[in-house]
Amino acid sequence: MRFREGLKKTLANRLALMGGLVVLALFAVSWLAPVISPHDPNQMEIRLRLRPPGTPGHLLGTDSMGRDVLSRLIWGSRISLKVGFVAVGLATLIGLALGAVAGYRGGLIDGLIMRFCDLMLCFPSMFLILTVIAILEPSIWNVMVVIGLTSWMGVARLVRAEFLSLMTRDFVLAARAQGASACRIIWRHLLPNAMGPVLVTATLGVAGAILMESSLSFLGLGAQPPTPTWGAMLTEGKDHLARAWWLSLYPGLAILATVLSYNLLGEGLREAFNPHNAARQG
Amino acid sequence: MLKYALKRILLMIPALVGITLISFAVMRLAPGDPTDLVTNLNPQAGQQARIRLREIYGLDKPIHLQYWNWLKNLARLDLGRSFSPDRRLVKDKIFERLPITLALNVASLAIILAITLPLGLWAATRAGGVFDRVSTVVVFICFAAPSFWLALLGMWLFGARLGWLPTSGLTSLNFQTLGPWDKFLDLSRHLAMPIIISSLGGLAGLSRYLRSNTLEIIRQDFLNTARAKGLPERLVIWKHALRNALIPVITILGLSVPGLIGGSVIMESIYAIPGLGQLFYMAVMGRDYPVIMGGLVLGAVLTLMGNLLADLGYALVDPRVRDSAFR
Repeated sequence: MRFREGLKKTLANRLALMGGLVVLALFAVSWLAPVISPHDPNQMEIRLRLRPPGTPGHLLGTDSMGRDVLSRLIWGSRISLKVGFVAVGLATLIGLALGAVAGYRGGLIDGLIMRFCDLMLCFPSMFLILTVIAILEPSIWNVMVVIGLTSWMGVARLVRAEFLSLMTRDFVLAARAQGASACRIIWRHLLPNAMGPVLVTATLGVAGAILMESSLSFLGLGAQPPTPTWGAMLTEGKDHLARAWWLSLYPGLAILATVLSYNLLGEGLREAFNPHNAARQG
Repeated sequence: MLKYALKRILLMIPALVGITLISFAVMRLAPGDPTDLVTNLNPQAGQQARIRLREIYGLDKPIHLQYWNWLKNLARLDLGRSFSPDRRLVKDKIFERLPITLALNVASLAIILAITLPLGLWAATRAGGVFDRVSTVVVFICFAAPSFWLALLGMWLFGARLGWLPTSGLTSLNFQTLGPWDKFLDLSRHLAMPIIISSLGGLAGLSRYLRSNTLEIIRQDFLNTARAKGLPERLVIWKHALRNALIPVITILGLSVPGLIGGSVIMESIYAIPGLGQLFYMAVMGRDYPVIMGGLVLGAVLTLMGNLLADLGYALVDPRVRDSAFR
């Protein structure tokens, strides 16, 4: 089974394994946030404003409203996870659907879908997303949906290419000769075999989506206060740069670690699933 | 070659039409219409004024006519007037800022190239070695670090702590009084941080690509031929392998244009640089729809031009493509 083999190879890659472990740890942290977070992330203590890291009870210090930085970091991981799943889930669904139709049907429909894909790739995604956010209201849900709607092109191209090559293979021809319906061929024969590369793209996509969300939140166009998100925490840090460096350090480190882990995991998966490498090593 | 270029340029026309269609659709499919902003903020604007405004902006016409009118104006670069209090022509606002953003991005690309070319080749010739592994991790970290965070850290370190570099703007207050050389120095000091930080994120893509590309080429027969005829390894790598590894880099550079332009929104907002990105950000915050529309179309057109330049460049340097392009 190609899929299981790929996973095994990924786990053998030390960097990818590390990335995977950090991702798992993040899952755990965001799931356990209510338990492990030392304070309510939005609880303000006016007397304890801008305390440096190491303050008793506030391991990573407090922000300008006396809120505990560590607690906000922990709760912020929930947003980043949500963004990863919703935005990338949406993008993957759209990409799978469009890519499958384009690859399976071919002809005019294929041409139309792929030209649309090319056009969407022409827009700097930052501009496109900002435009839609300007029209709608800035909110975390809007951000997630818009990121999803503007990042499906890679998956679509990939699925189409996989379909085109898979459809020339004997097992697909055999299924067709047996009179299997289009739905059955796509579901049972084509999609499962195209899932490896899609998984790689989705994993790397999560990294991109988290970066994009944090940029938008930093610009004040993502999650609205007082929701704790890493990007918005950095906006605060910017206002107190000279006096409270820790406000600018920790949220960025959290984003860096998260994005890096998803990227390493994704790259590991890519190398493991690449038939090119398999042939070379085998 | 000229024929090929002409053909590529003609092929851009349907893409341009598509870009305008998508831009128009994004703006018009949204709930509410642009006049809401003007009227909602003004309690004196009654129903009458609303209707008149809709007429002025042509919003009472059927949608295909609206698109056609907008397209006709766009062809004459007439993007209307900004909704912001200065009411200036969108065209003027955009084009006075475009050179700054272009210059910044070209400089970033130059830095990316200067770092990734040696890095990617070096890593490939020693694949699996210490340098390869370390450089891989470093470029991944650069890629994963949010640029606005690096910008903050840079401002804190080089601006607040060390006081080496200014943290915002394009020029100092006394810029006009400086001599030409000092003017250049002043500009460079202001732009050093934004340019270097915005190029860091681009290192990973290109260096990884160069590395894997070079790895592939190193295995090819013609390099063995070069070695067999007694060329020193240095020449084999830096001449024969490099040339072939370089060609696809042009395409990657073309593909990185939208990311750089998008990234300028963040960089220019943080460092208060009066470029296209900052204008776009301010337009989004102020719901200045004419400027947003103009920026969106221009961003896509710039990407298209980047792709065109990359294709033409590719045809120029790769004899295989060049010959088929001549035909």
